[in-house]
Amino acid sequence: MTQTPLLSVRDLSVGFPAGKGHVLAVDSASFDVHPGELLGVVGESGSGKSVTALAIMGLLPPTAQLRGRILYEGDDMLGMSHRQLRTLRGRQLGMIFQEPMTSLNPVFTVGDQIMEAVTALDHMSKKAATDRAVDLLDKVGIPSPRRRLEDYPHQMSGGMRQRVMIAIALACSPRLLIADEPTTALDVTIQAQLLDLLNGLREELGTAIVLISHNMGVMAEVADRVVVMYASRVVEEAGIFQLFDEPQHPYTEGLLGSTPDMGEQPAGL
Amino acid sequence: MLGYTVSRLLQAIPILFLVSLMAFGIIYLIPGDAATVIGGPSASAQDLAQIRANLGLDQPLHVQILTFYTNLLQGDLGRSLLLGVPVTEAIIQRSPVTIGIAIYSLVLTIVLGLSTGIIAALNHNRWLDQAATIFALIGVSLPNFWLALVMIVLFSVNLGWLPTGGYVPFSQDPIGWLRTATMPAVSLALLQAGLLTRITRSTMLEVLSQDYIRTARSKGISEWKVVGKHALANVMMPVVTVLGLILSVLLSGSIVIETIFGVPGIGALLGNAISSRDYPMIQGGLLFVTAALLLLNILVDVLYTWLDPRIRVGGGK
Repeated sequence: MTQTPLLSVRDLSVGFPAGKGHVLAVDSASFDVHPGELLGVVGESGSGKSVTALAIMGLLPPTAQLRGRILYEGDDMLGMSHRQLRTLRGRQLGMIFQEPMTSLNPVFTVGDQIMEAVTALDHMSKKAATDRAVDLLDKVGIPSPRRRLEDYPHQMSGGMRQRVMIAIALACSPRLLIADEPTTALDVTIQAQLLDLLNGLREELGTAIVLISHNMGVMAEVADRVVVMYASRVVEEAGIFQLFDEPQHPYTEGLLGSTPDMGEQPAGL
Repeated sequence: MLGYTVSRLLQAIPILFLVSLMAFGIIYLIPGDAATVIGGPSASAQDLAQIRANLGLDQPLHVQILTFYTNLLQGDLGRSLLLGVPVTEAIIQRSPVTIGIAIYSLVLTIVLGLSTGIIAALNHNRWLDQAATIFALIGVSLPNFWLALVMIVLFSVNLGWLPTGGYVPFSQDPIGWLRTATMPAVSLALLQAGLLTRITRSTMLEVLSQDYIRTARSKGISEWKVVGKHALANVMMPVVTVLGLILSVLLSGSIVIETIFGVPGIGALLGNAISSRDYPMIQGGLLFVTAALLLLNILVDVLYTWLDPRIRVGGGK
């Protein structure tokens, strides 16, 4: 691709202090995200996927040591002040987390939590914010959204909560959405619905999405390109067809081999 | 919510009954004859008979119990042997003093404990955190009567800023009240503030590591709002739970502190009653303090359920 990337991660290393030394969670990772594309990041647990995502969002704990560069439209995010980062998070970036059950604050209504994201950086009337929240809930497929605004998170199922999380992430119409295993904690039918939803939103809004998953089946369905992480490193970056046809790294090959192929099941089962 | 409040109030009844039974029994716990103890060595046989008749001790036990409860239910706790006035009247007269100092002390505790705990958590493992932890340790370690004495020496005797004791009602002279109530309130508050600092700090640290705090930050809202709204709302629940405990320590601590500062509150009233064996007063004071603490704890529990929508709204999945 020749267009300038929206996000460019260059030689990113993230370490955490552990005992007397420190552990490297991400080791010189580099990849690009282009406007409007869906980039998949695959890899096993502990391969550094989530840490990379949190590094992009600037949400790592203060003990984390970062090196390298994360360029958003050419500006290095690692050199930004808290305020600049906050503005970027409020206007350009959105993130959906792995655990819908604990990602919402239990003592505030979902309406309050969505409206807070809507009004984080833009002043608007309560009514306008409410209407926007209703719009967002409607967009993520929650029925009778106006009524659900008054609900507390514990009154919703996991799938519903994850939809609320997506609504929060979309509140500022971000240009980049990071989804960190958004469907892992949910059952399979809800998984498919949410992936459809994300894909639809990308097509409708032109949002670039970084989808983190360890599920190659999911990637094959929605991703344009895939970054494979293994043992804290990016071991392969390729278009989705290229990756499936000619995997370059032995780990990728293993990963593809471990995906069950439903087509091969005997008929009649 | 209403059902919960009512059921908690109903639960308080057997407790109050048990405590009233203990209050009734106090007079029988005296070794030998209560009348001899009250009358002293110089009392004649006639005096002793008079004392027994006054206390109703010459009646059969079941009549005594019946009389005790009949009077209790009418709000009659007997007459103080020391002061010669009805116990209820003495308690009603003295309670505003104690309540005023307790509220003052509670406000100090909450302001000091919460802010120190939050500052410590936000500066985890840095010098401010360590300073706060040391403050909390000193707070919980210092006996409040010792602190009271040191404060008297420092602020009254050496510096002359505050009177050594006494009490001016708030309604008469607010400044005077502040001058007399500050040292008692501070000496009561410091222990509680230390306790609250510890609880706030550890709860805050736990809450700050929760997923929903990360979500809040990902929205691009200010850090002030992340801590002041999202974290604090969750920190308040455990903190409110310990408020009940704090209130009971405040009330029991007031006996010593009011005696030291010569503050004419319930604490001093009870302290004097104990040292002069004023049994009706001890009974009444015991009942009053227990009832007050029970009510306050019920209030705290109801407040807790009100703070937590998972209990308040229900319908969880």
